[in-house]
Amino acid sequence: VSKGKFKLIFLLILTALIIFSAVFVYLDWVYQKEEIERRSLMMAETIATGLDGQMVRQLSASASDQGGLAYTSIKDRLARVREIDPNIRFAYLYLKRENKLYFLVDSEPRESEDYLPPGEEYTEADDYYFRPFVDGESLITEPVTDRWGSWVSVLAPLKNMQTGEVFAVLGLDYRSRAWTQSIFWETIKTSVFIPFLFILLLFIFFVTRLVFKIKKTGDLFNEMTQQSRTYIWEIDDEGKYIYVSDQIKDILGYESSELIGQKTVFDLHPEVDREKFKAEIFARFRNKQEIAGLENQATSKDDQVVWFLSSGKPVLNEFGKLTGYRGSSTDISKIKEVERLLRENQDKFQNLVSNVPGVVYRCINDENWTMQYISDHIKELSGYPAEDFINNKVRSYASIIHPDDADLVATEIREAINNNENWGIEYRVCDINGNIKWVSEQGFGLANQDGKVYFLDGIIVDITKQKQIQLELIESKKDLEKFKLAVDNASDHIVITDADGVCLYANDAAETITGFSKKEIIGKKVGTKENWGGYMPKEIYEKLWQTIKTDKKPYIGELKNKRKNGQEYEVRVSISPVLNENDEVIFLVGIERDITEEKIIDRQKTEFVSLASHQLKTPIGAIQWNLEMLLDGDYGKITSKQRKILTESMYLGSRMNELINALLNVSRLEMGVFIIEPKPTDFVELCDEVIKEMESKRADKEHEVTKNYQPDLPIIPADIKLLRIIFQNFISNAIKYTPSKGRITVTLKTDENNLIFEVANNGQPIPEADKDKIFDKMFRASNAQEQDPDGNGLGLYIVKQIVENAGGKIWFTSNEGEDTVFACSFPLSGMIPREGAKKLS
Amino acid sequence: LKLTFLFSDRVVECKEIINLTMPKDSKKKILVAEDEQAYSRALVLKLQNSGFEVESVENGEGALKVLETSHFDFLLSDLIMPKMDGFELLQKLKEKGIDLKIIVISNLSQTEIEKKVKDLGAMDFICKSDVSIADVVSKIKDLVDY
Repeated sequence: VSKGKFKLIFLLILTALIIFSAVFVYLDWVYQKEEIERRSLMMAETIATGLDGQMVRQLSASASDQGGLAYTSIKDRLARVREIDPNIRFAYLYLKRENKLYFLVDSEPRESEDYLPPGEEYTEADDYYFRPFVDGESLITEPVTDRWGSWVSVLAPLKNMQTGEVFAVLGLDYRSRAWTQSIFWETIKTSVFIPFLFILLLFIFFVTRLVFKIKKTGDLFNEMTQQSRTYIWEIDDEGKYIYVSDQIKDILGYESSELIGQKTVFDLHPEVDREKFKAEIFARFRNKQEIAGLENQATSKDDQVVWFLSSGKPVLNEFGKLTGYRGSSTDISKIKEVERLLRENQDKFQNLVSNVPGVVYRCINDENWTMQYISDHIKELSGYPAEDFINNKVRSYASIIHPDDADLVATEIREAINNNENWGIEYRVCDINGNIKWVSEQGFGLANQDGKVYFLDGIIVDITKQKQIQLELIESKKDLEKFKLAVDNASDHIVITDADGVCLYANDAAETITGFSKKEIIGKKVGTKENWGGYMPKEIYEKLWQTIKTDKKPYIGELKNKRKNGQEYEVRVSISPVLNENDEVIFLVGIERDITEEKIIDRQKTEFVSLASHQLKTPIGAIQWNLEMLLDGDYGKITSKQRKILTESMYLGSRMNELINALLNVSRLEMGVFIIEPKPTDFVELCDEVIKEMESKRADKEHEVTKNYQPDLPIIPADIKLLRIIFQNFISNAIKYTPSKGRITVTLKTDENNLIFEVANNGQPIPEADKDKIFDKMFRASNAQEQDPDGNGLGLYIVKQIVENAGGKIWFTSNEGEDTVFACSFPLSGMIPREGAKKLS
Repeated sequence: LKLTFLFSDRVVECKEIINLTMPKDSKKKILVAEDEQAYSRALVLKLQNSGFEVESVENGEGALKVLETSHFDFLLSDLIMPKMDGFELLQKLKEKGIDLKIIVISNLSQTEIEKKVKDLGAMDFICKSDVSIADVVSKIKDLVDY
C-alpha cells in the first residue's frame, strides 16, 4: 500500500468524521432542546395541576385580591417554584377577559421592582400567550422581549376538570440566554464527548491496523505480486498461444495480442537450449502428460530471461486427441535469484571453510559434541574422515579428545556458555595413530529464542608445532635460568662486558672478590684503575686486548689486582670473546679466579722443596768436594788402597746426590710447582750433546750407536732442561740395559703433527708382566735389577710426568726378537708452557 | 776410574783439572764468602793450589768490609749466610759501585734465584753439590780473561 493511498484514506475518514460530528452536534442540539422543552413543559404542567383551581377561581384580577387568602397562598406557591428551578425568573398566572390578558398573581414580592399588582394588563403579550386559552395545550414561546428583558416563556393552562374550560394560564419565564445556554451545555456535554470517543476509537483502530499491516506487509506484498506475476495461457498442439491473460504484459512486456496466434512457447524460450526444451515439451505432448512444477525460461520483450514455474493440463477433443494445453505460469525469477544467491553463498561458505586453516564445526551442545557439520580439515588433524563424526556415525568428537583434557574442555565450554561468552581453549587430541596433538579451539554457543544453547559453532586449529616450540622455550628458559643461577653463584668472579669492556653483568663472586658492588661495576669499563685493575705493566694489557679483540681468541693469564679496600690479590684470568655470525666481537666473558691463596700455598711448597733441597745438598756437596780433593792430593799423598776407598765413597756420594735430585724432581712434579719454559730448540744439537756426554759411560761396552736423524728436522719450542732430562734418561737406560757390543739407535723424526724421539736397543726385552708398571714410581723390572742394581726406579716415572705435563706422549715397545724402543713425541707446536716456581734439576 | 751417572755430566776426572792450573803472570785475587767451613777450607786450598791468591770471610758483612778496602778480582759467594746473606751483599756491592767478577755458589737450585743473582751482577751461578770442585776452578779460569 502506497503512502499516498494511505493518506487519502485517512483524509476521507477524517472528513467523514467531521461531517458526522457536525450532524451529530446538530441532532444533539435539537434533541437537547426538545428535551429541555419537554422537561419545562412537564414541570409547568405539573405545577399548574398542583395549583388549587378553587382558589385561583376566587381571584378576580383586581387590586382587591391582594391580602386575600387565595392570593397569598398562590403567590407563596409561585415563589417556591422559583426555588425549584433557579433558571425560572418569573412565575405567574394570568387570565383572559374580553380578549385582553390580565395578571392574576406573580411570584415577586410586593417590594420587588418587577412586582405586578393583580389585575394589571399584560400589554406586550403576543399571540403565543392567548393560544393556551384557545387549544388548552401547553406551549413554549419563542424568545420574547418585553419591558423586563428577553424571555422564553413556558405556558401551561389551568383547566376546569369537568368542562375542560381554561380559566387561567401559568407562565414560567426563563431568561432566554440562560435557556439557550442550558441547551448549549447539554449539547456540548454529549457532542464533544462522543466525537472524542470516536476519535479515540478511530485512533486505536488505525494503530492496531498499522501494526497488523506492518506485520503482514511482507506476506501481503508477496501475495499481491505473486498474484500479478502469474498468467494463464492456452496453447495448441504445436505450442502456439491460443490465449494468454493480460498479466503477461507486466511480466514479459508483450501485449497478449502480440502472442496469441503469433508465437509459440518455444519462441519465447532463450535460444540456448531451445531445441532441448522443445523436445522435452513434445515428449510430454506425445504422452498427453500433465505438466506440473515445470521450471522453464522465457525471454521478455526487452531480452531479460525470466524463470517460470508452469503447470498445465492437456486439452483433448471428443476423440481423445490432444489439441493443446491449458495452464498457468508463475514468474519465479526472484526465487531463482534467491536460490542462486544461496547457492553462491553456500559455495562461498564451502570455499571459506576449506581455506580456513583449521577445523570448522557446528555441533550439538551434548556430551559427545555430536557434529552436525565438521570441515574436511578434521582428516588432517585426526586422520579420521569428517563423515565419521557427523551424528557420531563412527565416532564422536569427544572420543578423540585426550582423556586428561576432556573434563577441562567440558568445563570451559559450559562456563563460557553460562557467561554468554566465547571460549578459547587449548587441549590435546589423539589422532588415528595415537599421536597426541595440541589444538586451540575458539567457539561460541548459538542461543535459541528461549535462551538455551543447542548448537555450538567454532574452529579448531592444530597448534602442536607452536606448542612444542613453546614447551622447548619454557625448557630452554629453565635451562637458562639454571645456567644463570650457576653463573650467579659461581665461586669465580664472572663478568660479561660489551666489546669495549664495559660491564653488562657481574656475578656475586665479582662483588665479594673485588669488594666493588654490582652497581659500581656495571656500566663501567672493567679491570681499570677505576675499579680493581690496571696495576700491571701496560704491555700485558696491550697483549690482552690484542688477543681478544684482534685475534679474537681467549686470553689466559695471571694478573695482580687491587680490591676496593686496597688489598692486592692475584687472579688467573680467562677472557673469551663472543662473536656474532659476522665474526665481530659482541661480548666478552671474563672469568677471574682469586689465586692469592693458591699462590701462597705454591710459594710455601716451593720454599719447602728449596729448603729441603738446600739442607740435603749442603752436606753431600761438602763431602764430595773434600773426597775429590783428597783424591787429587790436595790434602797430601794417599795410598792406592785409600784412593780405591775414596773413589768408591765418591761414587756413592754422587749416587746419593743424584737420588736427592731425583726425589726433589719428583716432589716438584707431584706438587705441581715446576716450570716448563719452552724456547725454540734444536733437538738434533741437544741429542748429539747428550750422546757425547754419555760416551764415557758406554766406553767399555763397545756399543754400536746409530744416529738416525730426519734431515731438516724442525726447530720447535721446548724446555731445554727438561728435554735434556728426557734424552739423558732414554739414552743412559739404553746404555745400561744393552749388553756389550749391542746396538743402540737414536731416532729423531716427525709425523704429520708431532716430533718423535726414539731410542731403540737390542737388549733383553721387558718381561710381559712388568710392562704395565714400567712408568710407575720406584718400579724396576725384574731383569733390570740384575743388570743395574743401583737404579732408583725414578727415571722413567719423572720422564713420563715431564712429557705428559708438557703436552707430549710417551710409550715403548718391547718384544722377544725385536729391539726394545722407548719413544716420546711432542706436538710440532711445541711443549705447553707452565708457570711454576721451580725448575727441575 | 769407574763412574756411572744418571743425570749429571758435571763430574770430570780430577787429574785433568790439575794439569790445567796456574796462571802465568800476576796472581788473581779471589775472595771466598762462605759460612760452611768444609766448603770454604776446600775452596781456599784448591784455589791456592790452582795459583790464585785467596782470602775467605764467613758472611756478607765480612766480605763487604774487605771489598770496601781491598781490591779483588773475584768474589765466590754463598747465598745463605748469617748476618748478611749473599743477596744483600750483592745488592750492597752494586749500590756502592764495587766492581769485580762474582760467582755465586749455593745449594739453592732454583731458576728464579739464578736469575735474581745474575740481575744483581753475578756472572755465574753454581750449585755446589752438582759440580765438582775442579769444575769450579775451571769456571773461574774461564772467566779470568773475560
